[in-house]
Amino acid sequence: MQISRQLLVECLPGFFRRYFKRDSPCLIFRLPLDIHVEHIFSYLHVEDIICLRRVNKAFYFLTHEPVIWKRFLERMNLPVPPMRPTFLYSHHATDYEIEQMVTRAISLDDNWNATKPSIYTRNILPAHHKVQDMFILPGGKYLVASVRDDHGYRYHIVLYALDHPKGHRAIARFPIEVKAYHLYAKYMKFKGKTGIMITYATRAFSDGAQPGLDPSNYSHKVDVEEPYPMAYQQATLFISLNTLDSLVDPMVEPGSDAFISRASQVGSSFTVMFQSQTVYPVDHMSLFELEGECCVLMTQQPNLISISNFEREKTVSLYLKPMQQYEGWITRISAVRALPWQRGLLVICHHLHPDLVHEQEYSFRLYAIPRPGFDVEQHIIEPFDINVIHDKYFSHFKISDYHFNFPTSAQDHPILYESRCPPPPISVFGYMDSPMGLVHYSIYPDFHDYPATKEKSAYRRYFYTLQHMYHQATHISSPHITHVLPGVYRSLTYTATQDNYDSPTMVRLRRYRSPHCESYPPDYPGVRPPTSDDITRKTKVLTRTRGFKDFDVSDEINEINHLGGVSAVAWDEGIGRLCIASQDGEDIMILDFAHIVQPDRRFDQWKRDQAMLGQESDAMDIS
Amino acid sequence: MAAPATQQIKIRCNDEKEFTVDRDVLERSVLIKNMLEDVTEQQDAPIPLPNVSGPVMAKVLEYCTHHRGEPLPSADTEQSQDETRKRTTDISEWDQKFITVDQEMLFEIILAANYLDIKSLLDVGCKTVANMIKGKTPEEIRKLFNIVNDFTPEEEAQIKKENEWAEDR
Repeated sequence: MQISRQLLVECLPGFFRRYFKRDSPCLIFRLPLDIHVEHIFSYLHVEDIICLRRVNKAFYFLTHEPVIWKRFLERMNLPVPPMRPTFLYSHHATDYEIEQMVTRAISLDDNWNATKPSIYTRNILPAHHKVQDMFILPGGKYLVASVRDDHGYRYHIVLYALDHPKGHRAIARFPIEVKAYHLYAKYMKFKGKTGIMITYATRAFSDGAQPGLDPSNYSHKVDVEEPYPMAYQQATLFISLNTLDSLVDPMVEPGSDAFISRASQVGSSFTVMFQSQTVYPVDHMSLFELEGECCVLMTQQPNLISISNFEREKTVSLYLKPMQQYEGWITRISAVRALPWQRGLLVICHHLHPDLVHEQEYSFRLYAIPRPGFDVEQHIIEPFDINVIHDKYFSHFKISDYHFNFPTSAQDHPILYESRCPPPPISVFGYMDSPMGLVHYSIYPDFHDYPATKEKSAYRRYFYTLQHMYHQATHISSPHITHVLPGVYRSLTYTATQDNYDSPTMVRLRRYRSPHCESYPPDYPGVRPPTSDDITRKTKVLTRTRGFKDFDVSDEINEINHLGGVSAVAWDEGIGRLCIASQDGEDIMILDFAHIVQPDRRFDQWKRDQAMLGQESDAMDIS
Repeated sequence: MAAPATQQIKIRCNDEKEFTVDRDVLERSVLIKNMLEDVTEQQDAPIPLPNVSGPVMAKVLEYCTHHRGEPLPSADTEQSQDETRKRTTDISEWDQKFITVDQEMLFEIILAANYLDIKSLLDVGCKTVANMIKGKTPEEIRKLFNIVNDFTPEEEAQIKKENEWAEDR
C-alpha cells in the first residue's frame, strides 16, 4: 500500500507556511514540512506526536497530517475496526477519521485492559421513537434500529449516521406494518453496488388481524403462548452506500438546499431483496458472502437451516440429520454461525430427553454447506465434526460474529492487522442455568499448507475445527442473568434481574476480557498473532486483569432502569461503542469506551483570525 | 561510466568556499552523482552548490569520507525497506559522535543532506532530532527548541484535555 505523498499541510495557505522558513528565528522551523512529517515523525511514537501537538500552532497543524496517522495505522498490531467499503482513504474531507481509527484502537485497548475501565464519552441520540432492536455496523458509522411510534401505530427500520461532524442523525427509514426484530446488518456488495444489507424478522397472526390484539406487543425474546397462530416473515433490505454517503457528506450542511435536493432523491432508496414466510418461528438470522455471493441465513425450529442466495435467487433448505444417540429425544437448534471461508456452518444443538427433565445434552457441530445443485433445494446434512457437552444446563448460546475479510470496493485501503494475522478464535457463550451464569468456549483455527503448483504459488488456508475447542471461563452470577454481547476480541456483559426478560433491569455492566486473545492453549498447534508493536512508547502489556471487570456506570444504569429497563442493545467491539435503548424512553444512549478524535474546527478559526490580522504581514512578505 | 577512483572533483558552496574531493566520496550524494553522470567530458569548472555553505559542506564531507565505499541504498530497496523497516532510532557510535553538534549545525546538516540527497546522513540527522523530542513534555520541547507557545490559555487547556488519553499510558 503506497501512501499518498501529497501532504495535506502543503495545500494549506500562507498562514501555516509562514512558520516554516529558511531564515526562521526558531531553528527547527528551518526544516521544511516534508522533513518533519516524512522523516522525523516516522521515528516518533503516538504519544510523542500528541505532545508535539500541544507545543504550538505549527506543530498542532503538522501533527494532523494524515500521512502520519496512516503510517501508524498500517503498522499497528491492534485490531482496527474495518473501514466501511466506501471510505475514501485518500480523501481530505475524512482525514480526521484515520487519526480516529488509530487513537480509538489504542485508547480502547488501554481502557479495556485497565483495572478500572471507564466510559470516555456519553452521548444521547434522540430517536423520537421506542426502540425495539438495534444493530451497529462495524466501525460505528451507521446504526440500524427497529422502532415504533408512541402509539404503536407505525413501525420503521431507521438508519442513523453516527459521528457525523454535525452530530448523530437519522438519514433513512423504511416503513413496516409490524415490529421488526432479530435485526442483523452488514456491509455487502450486491451486483457491483456496495451498500448496507439489513435483515429482520416480523410476525403477524396468520389468519389476519385479530380485534384488539397487536401481534407486535408479544415479546420476541421469550417463548410465550400466543392466543392465535402466528405467521413469521423474514425480509432483507438493501441500501446503497453511495446514496448514504451523499447524505452524510461533511461538506454538505444538513438543511441546506444541496442537502434537501440530495435527500429528496433518497426517498425510496431501500430495495427489498428477499422475503419469505413460514409458520415456524424464524431465528438466528445472519448475512454473509459465500464465494462472493450475498446470502442470508436463518433457522426454523426445530431443525431447519435455510440459506437464501440473492444473486441466484435461490433458497436451499438444510435439514440436520437426526443423530442415532438422540433417537426419541427432542433436538432444537440453539445457535448457528456461517463460516463462509471454509464453506461451513457451526451449529449448536440442544437435546432434551422426552421423559427425564435432567437429561439434557448440547452438541457443537461443524457442517459443510453443500454446493448448490440444479434442482435440489433440500439437503439432509451430516456433521463432520462434533463435540458434546453434558455436564451443564444452558438456556441458549451466542456465537461471536467475525468482521474481518469483508469485501472492500476501494482500491486505496491499506492492509491492516487482521489481514496479516491468523483468524482469531470464535467465541461461544452459553447462558448457564442452575446456577445462573455464563460459560465461555473458544474455537481456535487450524491451518493447512498447500504446496506450490504450476498454476498457483504456495498458500496457507485456515479453518476452524472442534478439536481446538477449549473451555475458557465459567462465571456464576446467580441470582442474576448474565447477558452477553459477544465479540471476537472484546465481549461486553451485563447482569440483569430475572423478573422481566423482555426489558431486563440492569444490575451491572462489565467487560469480559477473554484469555484467548493472548495466551493460546499450550497444545494448540496453530499460529499465534503478532503481539509486538512499536508505534507507542509502551508496548502492549499483557495484564493480569482477565475476565470480568465492572464499568462504573451506575448513573447510566439507573437511568435505563428508571425508563423501564433495557429494551435493545448494540455493541461494536472494534471501536468500543455501546448503544442502549430503554423500554419507555425515546432516546438511544451511546457510550464510548475509547477516545474519539473530532473533526477540527480550529484550523478554520485560525485562518480567519489570520486573514484579518495577516493581510499586512503577507504584504510584508512580498516586499 | 567507470571512472578512476582517484578522480578529483571541485565543488563551490554558496559562500564561495571551494573543495576538491575524491569522486567516490562526493558520489555519496545522489544529486552530485547524477550530475556527474550527465557530464561526459572532464570539466574544470567547480560544481556550484547554491544551497550549502562552506562550514556545513565541510561537515558533510567528513561524513561522506568516513562512509566512502559503503553500498548506497538503491531506489527499489528503499521502497520495501520503508514498509518493513523497524523504526529504530539507534545510531552507530561514530555517527553519534559526528552528529553531536549545536542545533543550528544539526538542522543545516539535515537540510544539506536533503538537498544533496544523502539518505543515510538525512536519517542520522532526523533520528537525532526525533531522539531529542522523544519522551518529552510539550514544555520541555518548547524550551529545547526555543519555540514560542502561541496558543491562548483557553486553547491550550482545551487541546490538553482532548489529548489527555495519551498521557500516562
